[in-house]
Amino acid sequence: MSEPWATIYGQVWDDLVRFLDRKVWDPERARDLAQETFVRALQADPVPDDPRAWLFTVAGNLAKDEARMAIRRREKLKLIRVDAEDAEPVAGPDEELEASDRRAMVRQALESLSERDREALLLCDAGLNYTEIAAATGLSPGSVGTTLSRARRRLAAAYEAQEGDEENGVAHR
Amino acid sequence: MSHIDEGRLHAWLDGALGPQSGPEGAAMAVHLEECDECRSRLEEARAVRERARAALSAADSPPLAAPPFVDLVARARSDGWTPDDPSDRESVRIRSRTAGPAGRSRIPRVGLAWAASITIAVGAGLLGRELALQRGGDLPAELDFGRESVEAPADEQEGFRENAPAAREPAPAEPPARQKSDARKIVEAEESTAGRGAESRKLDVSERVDADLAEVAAPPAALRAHETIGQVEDEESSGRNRFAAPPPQPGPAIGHPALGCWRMESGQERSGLPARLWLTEDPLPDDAHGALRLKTDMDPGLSGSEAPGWLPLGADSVWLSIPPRVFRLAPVDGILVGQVSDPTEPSAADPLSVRFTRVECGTP
Repeated sequence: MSEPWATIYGQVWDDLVRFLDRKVWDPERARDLAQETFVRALQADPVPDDPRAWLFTVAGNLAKDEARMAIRRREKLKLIRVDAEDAEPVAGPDEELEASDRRAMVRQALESLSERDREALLLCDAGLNYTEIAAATGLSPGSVGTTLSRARRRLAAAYEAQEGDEENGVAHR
Repeated sequence: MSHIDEGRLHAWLDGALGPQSGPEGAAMAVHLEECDECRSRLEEARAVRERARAALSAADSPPLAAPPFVDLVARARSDGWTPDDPSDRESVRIRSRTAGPAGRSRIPRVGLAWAASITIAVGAGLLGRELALQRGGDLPAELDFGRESVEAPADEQEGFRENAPAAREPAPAEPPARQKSDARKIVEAEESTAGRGAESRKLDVSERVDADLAEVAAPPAALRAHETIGQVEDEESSGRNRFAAPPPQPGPAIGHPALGCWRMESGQERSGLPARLWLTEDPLPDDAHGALRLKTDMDPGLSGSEAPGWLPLGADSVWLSIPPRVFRLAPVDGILVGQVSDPTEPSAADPLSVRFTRVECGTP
C-alpha cells in the first residue's frame, strides 16, 4: 500500500465519522465505529489494495450490524414496555431542537432512497472518487455518475418536500 | 456527439470526467462548448448537486476530535494484533534492544492490558532543534521542519503565554561551554544523518534510541529535558552515561527509573509536523499503580489531562499528546514518569519508577 494507515487516518477521520453518523444517527456511536474500523484496518491481513474504499466498506458493514443490534434492542424495550413515549420531550435550546429536526428530515430523506443510491451518495459526500465508490459498492465505475445523479435529485426533492411540510406544520417524527 | 446524459454530467461536475481525463472527457468538453442545451442541463445538474449537498450538510454534527492514532494501535495490539510490516505502521518504527529478544515486542499483550502502554509524545527533536537554534546552530534544511511554526505570529505566542502557567521559572543558566557543546552535538548529529536517505535516518535514530534506552536512567527530578539530551549525547560520545541504569532486574520496576526524552528526526511522511515520539513502558506488576507526571513547570494543559500534571497509567493506557504548535511555542521541560502510591492522588514525592523498554515513533 502506498500510504500508511496513520496518514490515511488523519485524512479520512472526519469523513468517516460523518459517513457513519448518517448511518447510525448518533455522533458518539459513529465515532466509536470509526475507531473500530481503523482497529480492523490495522489488523487487516493482507493490507487492502484500496484502503479508503476498504475502510468505508467495513464502516458500512459495521453500521449495518449496529442497526441490526439497535432493532433487537428496541424489540427488547417493547417487551418491558417502558412507557417513555408519553413523556414530555426535554426542552432544550431552540438551536438544538432545530438541529435535531434538520437531522430528522435529512434522515427521512435519505431513507427514501434505495440502499444503493444512498450508499453511493454518502460515499461521494465522504470524498471518495468514482473508482473508490465503485469498489465499495460493487457498481461499475461508469454507472456511478448515473446513480449519483438519481440519488441527488431524489434526496433534494425529499428534503425540500419535508422543509415544505415543516413550514406547513406537519410533524416529521 | 449526441447530448450528454445526466450521469456523465454529474461525473463531469465531480471531476471523474474532464477535458484531461481521456477521449470521452475531451469529447464532452468540445460538446459542452458547442451545445447550449447540454450547458443548460449541466447547470441544472450543478444546482441539483448543490441542493443535495446542502441537504446532507444539514445533518452535520459538530466534529468529534479523532483520538490519537496510537490509541488505536494499542487497541489493535490488545486484541492480539502484531505488526509485521513496519513500512505501513508509523507507530512501529523503533524498537529497543532492551525489549528483549526480537520477537518479544510482538507478543500480544492481552494479559498486560492495564500496563499496555503509556505514550509520551515528546517533540524532542524540536527541543534539540530549538536548543540548537537558540544557541546559534544552523540545522540542515532537510531537518529544519517547522521553523516557521516556531516563529509563530506574535499574537499566537502572546496568546499562549497568557495561558501558560505563571509559576514557570527560567531554567538555570548553563556554562557557556556546555551550551555550545550541547548545541554542537545536536547539530552534528543531525548533520550526520542529513546526507543519508530517509530509511537510513530511521535506522540511525533507531540505533541511537536503542542504545540510549539500554543505558539511560532517570535524571534527578530537577533536571531539564534538553540538558538531559545534551548530557546523554555527551555521555554517548564519550562512551559512558552518568545516568546509566543498573542491569534490568526482575520484579517490580521500582528503582529502575528512566527519562523519556529523546531527539528524533521524524515528520518525513507528514511534513510540517514535528517529531513525535512516545515510549512504551515495560510490563509492570499487576498490583502496581503508575502515573505519568509532567515535569515541574510544564503547562498541565499540554497533557490534555483532567488531573493537572498527571496522567494515570493503567487499563486506560494514556498517550500523551502535545499539540505541535503549542509544543513548539513552549518546549516542555521534561517528562518524568513515576510509580505512585495512590493513582488517584499522585504525589510529587512518589519515586520515579517506570522503566521504559521500548521506544516507538510515529504520527498520531
